[in-house]
Amino acid sequence: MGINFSQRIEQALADSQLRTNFRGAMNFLRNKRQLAFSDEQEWQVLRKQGAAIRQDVIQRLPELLIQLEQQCLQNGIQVHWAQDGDQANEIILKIAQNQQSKRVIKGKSMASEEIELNDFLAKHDIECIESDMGEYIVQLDHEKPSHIIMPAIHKNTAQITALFEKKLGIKTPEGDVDALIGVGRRILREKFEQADIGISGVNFAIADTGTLCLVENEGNGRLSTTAPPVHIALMGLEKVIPNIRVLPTLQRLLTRSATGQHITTYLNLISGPRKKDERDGPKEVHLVLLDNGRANIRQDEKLQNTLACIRCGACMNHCPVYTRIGGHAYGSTYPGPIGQVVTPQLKGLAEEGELLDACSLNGACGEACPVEIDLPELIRTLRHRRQESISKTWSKEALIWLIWAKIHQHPKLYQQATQLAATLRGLTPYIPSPWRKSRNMPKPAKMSLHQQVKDRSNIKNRAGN
Amino acid sequence: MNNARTRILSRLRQGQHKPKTAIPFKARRLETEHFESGVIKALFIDQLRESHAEVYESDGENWSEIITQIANENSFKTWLVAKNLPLIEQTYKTLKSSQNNLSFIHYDKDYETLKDCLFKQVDASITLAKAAIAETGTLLLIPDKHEPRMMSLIPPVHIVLLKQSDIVSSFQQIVDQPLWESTAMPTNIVFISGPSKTADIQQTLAYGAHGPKRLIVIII
Repeated sequence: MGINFSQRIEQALADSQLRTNFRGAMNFLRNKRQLAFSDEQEWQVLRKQGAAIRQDVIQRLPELLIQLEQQCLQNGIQVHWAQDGDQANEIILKIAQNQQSKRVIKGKSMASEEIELNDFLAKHDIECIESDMGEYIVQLDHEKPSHIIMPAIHKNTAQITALFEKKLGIKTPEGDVDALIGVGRRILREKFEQADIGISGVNFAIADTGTLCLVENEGNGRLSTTAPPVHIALMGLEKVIPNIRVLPTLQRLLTRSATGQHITTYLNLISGPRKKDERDGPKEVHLVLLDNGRANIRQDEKLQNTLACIRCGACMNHCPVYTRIGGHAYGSTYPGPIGQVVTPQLKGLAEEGELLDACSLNGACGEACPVEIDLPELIRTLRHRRQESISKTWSKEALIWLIWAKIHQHPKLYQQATQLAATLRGLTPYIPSPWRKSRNMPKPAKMSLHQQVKDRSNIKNRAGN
Repeated sequence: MNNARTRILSRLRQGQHKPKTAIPFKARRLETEHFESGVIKALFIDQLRESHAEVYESDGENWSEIITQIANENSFKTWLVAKNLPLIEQTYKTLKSSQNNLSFIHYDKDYETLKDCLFKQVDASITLAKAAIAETGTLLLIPDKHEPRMMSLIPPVHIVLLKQSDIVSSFQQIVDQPLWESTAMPTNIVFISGPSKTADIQQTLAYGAHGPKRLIVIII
C-alpha cells in the first residue's frame, strides 16, 4: 500500500507472469462472448432491449424500490435501507448478533466487497468465509478479487496449487484442477453445514413479486441462501427490475457477455423464507438495499447511465489497458472501464480521479457493453469535470492544451507554428520526453499538408494556363 | 433506519425531470417463437448434453427400467426420494424390488434434523421437473414440501424425471405464462442447466463445484 496508481501500473506491467495470466484469460473470455453473440443482428436487437429495460429502471427507480419493498415485506422478507457502507455493515452485524452468530458463509457479492464487509465482521469476531471458488482462493491469499466475474483470474493453476499447499497443507497433483476444486468443495461443504448466516449478492430483484434472482454456476449461491437459518441479501439499489417478463432478456445479455454461456447452471429465484410446511430454506430472509452514492449518481443526467450496469465484466475483458495491467492495479473494488466510471463517482473525483487517466479512449468498452452504456462518453465527461475542478491552479497539461487551442483557432498562428515545426524537425529526436524511453520520436513532415495542397494547386493552375 | 429510507428516497427523487411512466416492454419475436414439436425435444437434449448432463429417452413405459439400470451400473446405494408423488412412488417401488441392499431416505423431516445424513450418506436423489426449456437445455424445478430445495443441491448425483410434453421453447414463454400464480410466487424457483461447475481456476472447466457432480435427466 501507500503507492499511487501509476506506480501500481508500473509494478503490474513489470510482472510478466501476471501479464501472461491476464492475456490468456481475456482472450478466452472475449472469444467465448463472441461465439455466444455470433448473430450480429440478434445482438443488436437484444442489446437495444436490454438498454431500454435499464433506462426504464433508472427513470422509475424510487417507485420500483418502494414496490420491491412492499412485495418483499408481504412475502416475509425483511427490508433494510443503508445510506452507505457503514450503515450496511452495522445492519448486517446487528442481524448476526441477534443470532449470536460466529460463522458466516458468503456467496459472491461485489457489493459486499464495496463495503468491505469481511474485514468489518472480522473485527467483531465473526468469521466470514467466501464460498465462490475464485473468491475462496483470493481470500486464502488475503487478496481482493481482480475481476468482478472471475475473482482469481490473476492466478494460474500452479500458483493455486502452491497456495493450497501452503495455506491448507493439502498437496494436489501438479496441474490437476479437478483435485483443487475437490479440496475446495470438501472444505466449504463443512462450512455450509455449520454456518448460521448466509450472505449473498443479488443479480436482479423483481419489484412486482418481491423476488431475488441469483445467477451462478457453482451452487455455492444456492447453498449459501438455503443451508443457514438466516439469509441476508445485499444489493446495490440499481439492481431492481420491474417484473419477471424482462428477466429472460437481461439474463441472456448478462451470462453471454460475462462468460459466453447461454445460461448459467443455476438461476435461483428466492421469494421468501421457509414456509410452515416446508422442510428447508432459511427461516429469516433479509434484504439490504445499499445506496452508497448511487442516488447521487442518478441526480446527474449526464452520468446516471452508470446505474444501467448489470456487472457482466465485458468492458474490462475488452479493455486494452485492463488486459495489460490487471484488476489489482486499479486499487478499487470495481476495476476496468466501469470501475473507472463508478469509483470516482462513489469516492469523489479528488480521491479517485486519476483512475480516469488509464484510458486510451479506444471505445472497445462501449461497443462491448450489453446495455449500451456509453462508457467512453462517461469517461470523457468525468475527465472534463476533473479538469475543471483542478485547472484553477495552472497545471502543465492545462497550459499545453490552452496553447494548442489558441493555435488551432487562428489560421495565421497555425501556419506559423507548422512552419516552425517543419524547420525544426531535425531536433525532435532530442526533445526530453518519457515517450523516448521505449519508442522513437516521430518527426514532423518537411512540408505541412496546407503547404503541399497549395503547391499542388499552383502547379495545376499553371498547367491549366 | 427509517431515516435512511427517507433520505435515500428523497435523494432519488431529486433531479427527477422525466415522466415516470413505465416504458412498455415487448419481448422480441425470437424470444416468443415456438419451435416445432418435432424439433423441440431434440434441441432440448442437444443443449442439455452440451452442458454435460446425461440424458435418457424412454418410450413412455420403460423409464423405471432405465432408473434400475442406472442404479445397477453406478452402484448407488442410498437414495433420497419424495413420498406421496405418484411417479416417484412408482420409481421407488421399482428400485426397491430390483435390489434388496438399497436404502431410501425420505425428506419428511426438517433440514436441521436430516442435514448430516443429507451431506454424508446420500448417493443420489430423484426429483420431478415442472417444465423444461429447449433453447438452453434448462430444467425448471419448484421445490415444495414434497421435494425441498436441497434435494437438487446436496446429493452428488441428481436424477430428474421430465415429461416430454412439459418442454417449451424459450425462457420467455415460461415467464409470459407462468406455471405459478403470478401474484404469489413460490418461495423458491430454480432453473437448472447441467451439473454444478466452475471455471474459476485458469478458465479450466471442472464439474461438481458445490452442487451435484452429475445431472441425469430421464424424459418420459
